[in-house]
Amino acid sequence: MKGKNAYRVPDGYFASLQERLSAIPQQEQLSAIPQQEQLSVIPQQERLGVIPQQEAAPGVWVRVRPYLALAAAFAVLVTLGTALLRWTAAPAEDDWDSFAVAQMMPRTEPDAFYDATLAESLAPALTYDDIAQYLLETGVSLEELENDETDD
Amino acid sequence: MTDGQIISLWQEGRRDEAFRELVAAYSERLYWHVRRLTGSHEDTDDLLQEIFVRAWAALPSFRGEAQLGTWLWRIATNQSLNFLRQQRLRAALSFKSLDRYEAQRIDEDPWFDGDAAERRLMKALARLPHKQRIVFSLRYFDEMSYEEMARVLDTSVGALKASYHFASEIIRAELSD
Repeated sequence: MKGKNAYRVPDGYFASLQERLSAIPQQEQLSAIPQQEQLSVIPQQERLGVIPQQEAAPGVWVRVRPYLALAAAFAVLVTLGTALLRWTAAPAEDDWDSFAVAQMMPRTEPDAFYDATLAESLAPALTYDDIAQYLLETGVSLEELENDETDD
Repeated sequence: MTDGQIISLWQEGRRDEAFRELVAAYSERLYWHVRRLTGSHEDTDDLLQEIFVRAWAALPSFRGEAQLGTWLWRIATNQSLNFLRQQRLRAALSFKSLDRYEAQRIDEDPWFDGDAAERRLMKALARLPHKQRIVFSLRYFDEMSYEEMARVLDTSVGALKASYHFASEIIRAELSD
């Protein structure tokens, strides 16, 4: 079995095929001619049925259409991307947790919040009376303290 | 007209006449070769146009290193391979497997005139990898010698024999299912 007989072709196909293929040299030669020069040979070529009619220049809408399509595609992408980002954002439960924590916090006056570092910086400097009182309480004499300072 | 006579016509400057003789000598044989690969009359018609346009463009640079027929078969085979690669993309875009896509083309071909066995053979052929399909088609249907095939496909006779052997085994297995 040879598959050549598995196919058939329209009647007269090979004859018309040879005719069309044999016209390739003329078609190729014509396509190599600049368009202006082709106009001078159109009548003859039209008789041979080789060249199609010259097409009209495209209108403004046809020229602008590709750019509008590009802009529309970009807008769709941005919209979809934004929607996707919002859809995959952190769930609302976190907000409810923060509300719950807020409810557990006691009501306080803002002024009552104590800032230790701030308090220290605002605290008055120690006086000699404070130092003397401390020394009496710890049993260190003033002479011992002065000797320590001169040894340094 | 022989290849030598066609080349002589070309060298004498009678190029259009030489090309017409080339078309007359090879168009029908190439049609059947390409048809078995594409599975479609319309696609084959388009491909033949491309093949002979390329042949016309490349003829000035033909130096006679190969026979004219071998050279033309090589152009036809390369164009057919390009078509088969594009076929894979068309199948993917139609959301079908390549096997199913090509089997459907054979079933829906209005110019398929074979019996059920021939239909199965063509479907089995369509399932072969591209290069094996070409080797099998050239050997089985076109009855091309391995030496000529080696010149057309630019590969060794041994590789072609192995390729044909594997292709035959696959097709035999498909047909016996």
